[in-house]
Amino acid sequence: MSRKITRLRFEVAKQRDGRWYCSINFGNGATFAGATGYNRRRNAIQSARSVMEHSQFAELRLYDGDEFTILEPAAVIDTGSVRYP
Amino acid sequence: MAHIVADWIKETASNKPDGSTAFNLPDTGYTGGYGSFDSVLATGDTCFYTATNTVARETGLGTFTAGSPDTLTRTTILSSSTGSAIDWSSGGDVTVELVDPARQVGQSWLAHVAGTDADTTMVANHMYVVDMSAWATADRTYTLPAAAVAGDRVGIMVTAGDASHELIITANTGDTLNGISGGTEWSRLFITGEVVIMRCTADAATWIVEYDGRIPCFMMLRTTNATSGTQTGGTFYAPTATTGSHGAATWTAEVNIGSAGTTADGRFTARRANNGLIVTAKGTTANALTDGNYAAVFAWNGTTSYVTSQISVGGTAVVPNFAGAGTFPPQAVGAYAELIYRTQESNKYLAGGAFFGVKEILN
Repeated sequence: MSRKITRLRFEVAKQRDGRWYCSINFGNGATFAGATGYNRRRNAIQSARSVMEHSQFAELRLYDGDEFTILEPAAVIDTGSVRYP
Repeated sequence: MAHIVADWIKETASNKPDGSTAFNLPDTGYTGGYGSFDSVLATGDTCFYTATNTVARETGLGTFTAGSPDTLTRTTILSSSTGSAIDWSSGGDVTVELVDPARQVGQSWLAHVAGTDADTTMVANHMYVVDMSAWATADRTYTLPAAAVAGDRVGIMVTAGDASHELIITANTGDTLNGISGGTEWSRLFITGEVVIMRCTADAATWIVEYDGRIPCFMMLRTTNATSGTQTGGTFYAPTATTGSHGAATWTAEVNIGSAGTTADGRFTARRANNGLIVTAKGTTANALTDGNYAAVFAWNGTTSYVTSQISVGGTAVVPNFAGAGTFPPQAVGAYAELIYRTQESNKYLAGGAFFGVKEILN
């Protein structure tokens, strides 16, 4: 089964415990990959990408020919304040 | 060119038309204070009329034309004493009166009749008012009438629904309802307050749903305790162990409109064919995961996942939250949606408070 995914939206946030969270929402609206609890923002993003791109689980895997556009991380939420990266 | 309804309009025609000719109306009201057709109708207006010469009778839809004399063209014959248009030429004088035909009144009014716990062939121009709460043994099929004429209507109103049985609606053999052939169900009713009104648009052939007052099923289930038992890493489980073998959590229903949700198995089961579902699924592990490992919650139909949420954790002692929302494709009666979950490590479990929400998209 192949799917055409046209948009992937990143959301990156710093949690109140100081760790980083990253979610990637697929364009079909029904699939979500993410990472949480990372000390570095970069590692959270990399982990979320890894879940998305290299997961061994068919339900999340992208296939050859799938089309997608990665939207840049939308916002960083740092202890209640919001700023764009 | 309006359709005119009025009281006390009656005249004696100045001709005795054959079966296809218009009535000539002298613009003189009938004895006893009746008014003339010309007093309420203009050229192009329509009205229902009934005509009699004391022997033959005819009722139909007439189209008025002002002139000398005024005429009322017999546009559509609804009924007559012979079953077809009357040839008035050999009888006495013909009186013509503006009326509301009985059938027309019935179509507008929908006579109240109680629907019963039995398969029913419905009668045109009735509203079946159904208390399903005492339906004891089976689904019941309500079939539209076969010998309907265009304009006939039938309604069904559920005053009390039922959690186990459904009222199935279908057209009669050879007819269609919203394009669905008789004998094949259009849909089902079972929720208190559901109302459907159907209108015949072609004689003895075609019905269309004029008013669709079905209520979408909607459920919100939540677990009250964590799962337990032996949980193998990477394996899918349902919180109630309908999938997998570890100990069961308990589902409670916060909302369950239409009783499609069942707490025993945590599933939404379609009680009527639908155009799909809107689904949300949320979970949290009961125990912290270690570095790089994942947890996931899915919503599936037993074969395919349509909502997927998977999250990996960094560092130690992280309890991830994961939630997804999406749509399911159309379901047949009996198809289900179910929340399942897994964790990369064994025995991390799904914490109490997992949530599964489903709303039906009506077909």
